[in-house]
Amino acid sequence: MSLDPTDPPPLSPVLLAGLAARLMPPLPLLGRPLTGPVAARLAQAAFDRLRRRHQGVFDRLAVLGERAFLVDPSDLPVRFLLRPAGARPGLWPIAEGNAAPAAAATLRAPLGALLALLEGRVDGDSLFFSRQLMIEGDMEAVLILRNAVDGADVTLERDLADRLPPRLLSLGRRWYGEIDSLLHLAARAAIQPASQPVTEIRP
Amino acid sequence: MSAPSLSLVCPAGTPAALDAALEAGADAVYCGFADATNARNFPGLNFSQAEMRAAATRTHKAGRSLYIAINTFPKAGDEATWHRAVDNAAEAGADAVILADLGLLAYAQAHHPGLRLHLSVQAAASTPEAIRYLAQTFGVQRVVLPRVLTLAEVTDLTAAVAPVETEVFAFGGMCVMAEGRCQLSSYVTGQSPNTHGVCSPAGAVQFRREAGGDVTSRLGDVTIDRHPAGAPAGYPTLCKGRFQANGTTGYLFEEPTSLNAADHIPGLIKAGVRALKIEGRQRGRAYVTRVVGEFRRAIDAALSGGFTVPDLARGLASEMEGGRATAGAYDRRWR
Repeated sequence: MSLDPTDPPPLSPVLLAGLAARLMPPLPLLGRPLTGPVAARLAQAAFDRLRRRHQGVFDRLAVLGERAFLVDPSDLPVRFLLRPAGARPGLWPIAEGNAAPAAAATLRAPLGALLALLEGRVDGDSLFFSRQLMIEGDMEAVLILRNAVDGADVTLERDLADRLPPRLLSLGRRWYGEIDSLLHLAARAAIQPASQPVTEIRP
Repeated sequence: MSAPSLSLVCPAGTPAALDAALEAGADAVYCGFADATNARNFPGLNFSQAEMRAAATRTHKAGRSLYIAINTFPKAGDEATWHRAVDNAAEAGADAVILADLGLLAYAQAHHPGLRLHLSVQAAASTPEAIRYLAQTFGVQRVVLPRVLTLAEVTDLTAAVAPVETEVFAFGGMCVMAEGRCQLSSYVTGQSPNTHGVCSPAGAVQFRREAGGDVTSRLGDVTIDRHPAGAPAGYPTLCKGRFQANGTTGYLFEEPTSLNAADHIPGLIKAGVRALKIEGRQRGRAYVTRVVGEFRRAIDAALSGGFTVPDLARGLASEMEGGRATAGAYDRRWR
């Protein structure tokens, strides 16, 4: 598959299949389903690491109390329950088909768009205008989360990978580089419909 | 006669957005405190006093200016909150405060005579008489004009009120109501940008996914719109709602669309307008980076005589409400 990363086609099942095909070589390295115990431990470890690195953001999120979010990457067979504050903060994967726990709000978008939002590479309102981001539930909680995260300087590669052993880091960087470039492509594809020339309204 | 100039005034809802605005080429950045004293009092947004002090330091180190918006109307009996905000702005090192309320203008003039006063768009001053009165009475040095004036009207007004400076909106949310007087949000939710600092408060907004992919947006008990699957959406404000009336369905007040006055930059420079304002303190730093960067390039080109109508539409399409742009009243031909 050959794609122009600066002008990708709109996000579609065909594009996603192509992206998945490009990921096939490293995928066996995962070895387990996205929602198994290893994935659960990895999700919690990533959450804990972000929490340590961005304590100021989590201080801002303390007002959420026990309110949790269901984060639903629309192109993956997994959802995540995110509870940023409260007595037991964390991130938990939920397998497709399993009942989702109660959450204050649900955020649904392609994975690339969600990660771009987390890293502040795309504006949440823009994703909403272009209908790539769907939000249901407690809007106040969503705005608190969005504004706190946007105010942080989250860079996943730097935040999650810098304490790995050098050889593992090198391998991880290669794999992350591939994933990251594809996610950037997917994010651009996700907002591509809104990047078309706009209608100019003349009175 | 001094050389033409045009200052780019940019929004920042968070310290990160402020840094993004400075990096992208803002001449001035405007912010607000995290309370009802400013018209973008959204959950999780805005600055603490410590953050505002740090923001002033970083802004001045970069050789730019920091304006602080205290542009809501004080609640009777709680004027002290607004007075404290003016005191805190002066203490933080603001280069100007953006005010709308006459009492607050009087307070700032009396207690902080060295503090530069800008008149917020929330004051809805759009005549030479109103602006001259505010300048003579309170020492207002700049007025942010409402988004309902044509380019010819902006030109005439700027000449008539000189040496008071004029600042106009160039990009972002398109509000065509009498700003500072609009009661639509208050009518439905009991809260308005004028008093609580928030239009269509998040606590009153609901989105619901319907069968087939449509999305319904509601504000309080009022259905604002139903967006078909894949169609662009807008903010859930009453003024952008689509309603049924007399057997037809349509936008009763205005369509969801963003202002983009980039084409008019040379005309605004010629009119003597002192500053262009980008709307959007509620937007993320990605928006700030992209919009400010595009307007920085367009202004620099215009000031150096190399201006061609910038192709901002494609680059900024995803930042626009409803995926559409309008030059708004600048192009207005009706009366």
